[in-house]
Amino acid sequence: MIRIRSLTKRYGDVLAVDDLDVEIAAGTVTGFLGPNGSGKSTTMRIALGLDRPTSGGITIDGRAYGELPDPLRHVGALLDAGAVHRRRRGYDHLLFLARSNRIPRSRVDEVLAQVGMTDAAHRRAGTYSLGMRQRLGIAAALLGDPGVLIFDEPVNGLDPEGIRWIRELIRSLAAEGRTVFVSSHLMSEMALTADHLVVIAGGRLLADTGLTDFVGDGPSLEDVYLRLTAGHEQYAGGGR
Amino acid sequence: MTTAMQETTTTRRTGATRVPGTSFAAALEAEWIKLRSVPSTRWLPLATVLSIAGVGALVDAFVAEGQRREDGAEYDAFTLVHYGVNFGQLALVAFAVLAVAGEYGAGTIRASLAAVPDRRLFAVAKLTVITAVALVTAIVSSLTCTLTARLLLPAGDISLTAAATWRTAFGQVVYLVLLAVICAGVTFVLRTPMASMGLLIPLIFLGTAALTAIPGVREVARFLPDKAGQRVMRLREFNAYELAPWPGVAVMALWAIAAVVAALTVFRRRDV
Repeated sequence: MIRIRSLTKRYGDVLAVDDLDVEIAAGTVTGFLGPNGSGKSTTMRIALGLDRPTSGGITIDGRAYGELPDPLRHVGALLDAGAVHRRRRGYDHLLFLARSNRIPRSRVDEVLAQVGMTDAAHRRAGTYSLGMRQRLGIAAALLGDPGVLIFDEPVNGLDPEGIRWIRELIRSLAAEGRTVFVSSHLMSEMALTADHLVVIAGGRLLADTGLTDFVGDGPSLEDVYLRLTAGHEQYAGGGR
Repeated sequence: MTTAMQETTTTRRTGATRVPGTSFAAALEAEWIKLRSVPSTRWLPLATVLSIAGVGALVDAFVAEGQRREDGAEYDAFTLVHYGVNFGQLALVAFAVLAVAGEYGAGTIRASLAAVPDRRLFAVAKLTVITAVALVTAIVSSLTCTLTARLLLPAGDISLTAAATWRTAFGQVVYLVLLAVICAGVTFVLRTPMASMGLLIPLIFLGTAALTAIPGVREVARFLPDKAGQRVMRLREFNAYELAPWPGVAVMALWAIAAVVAALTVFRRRDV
């Protein structure tokens, strides 16, 4: 379970996240929605200890990220699929991550098979398509068999077959009782994947509700979402 | 310095809930995998040895006799023995810079820090592995320079039983290791190869020779890390403004400590 408590993040004069309070439950897929610059990526970076909150914080299973021993065994994250050294083989990228958390080498082969990257893993990451980098990033998230998964825009760059694959993977991870927190801009995809929605704009919480309640009598998730976030399109946060 | 850093970590970790030391060992292993899985950091240590020893051998073989005639009583064979350092150090600078900057080019640092969130542990592990590789590189390079000089230089220039031979050989090791530490520390602060090389290359290769010729500037320039640290590789001073060998090493070590302190301070506070 992920608990976001009174989270505020300020970059100079810009308020990226403004007193956010949310709990993300285990065993469901929670979609994280919001316009560009709404604070989604900032929130996810803070959850992983990469950025420091100005005040408040995020705990995972009751502990701050930095207090988790071998954190990859607790939390798997896909933040930026491009974040692999271009001259390093996919296999070695996973290997150093695994060994830093005392995860056996054999697990690298397992997750590579799981994402269909067994052959490509021995090529340098600079030769990968966006879809392959995305699969490698998902393999990295699965390395420690974690109870909590955080995916930032996981379907980016995937082809239709890949999109279906990640959707089914995400659903199955939640069905196994894991906490799955997924951001996306693709409303149609969210409508198929998420059980629960957290919507933010301008760093503030707009909605925290089940998918069916959120859509209600509206024509579609997209329509309800656009109506809710109208006027909030701004480029406030990091968005890195 | 490596030992000092490890002690700090061990002391701190003992108070934590984790088993002391094991996380650090895992972080060291990860850093080692990173260095050997990218072509640049994998091969630059070898390039360092080949260029330092290669240039040294050429100078020993073809320049020594002429130099002896020219310098007469002032002749210092060790200037030639370790001459290759002037060129080969570039490869070691590149190694240390790329070992750190490699995290930032594509943003690997985010995956790395999600795996090892303790910033100080992460930075100390990376600096330790870089220092260890630089140490092995420097020992191999210095021994090769010394032994090839013994074979190539005229008899009487260098003796393997003379203290001076081993002082200068030790000097090359210390100089190269401290140089690598300075470069790695600076790159932790600046993050990109462009910025780090842009600062370090002029400092080490271009500026100092010119600076030491200018009155008023040379009294200060002698405290620059390379000027201070290189004197221990020679028996005689180039000019009256140089620091003595061991004070020079001490000054360069202070630069290295400053670079590490700056790296740890900035790296711990910064968002990635």
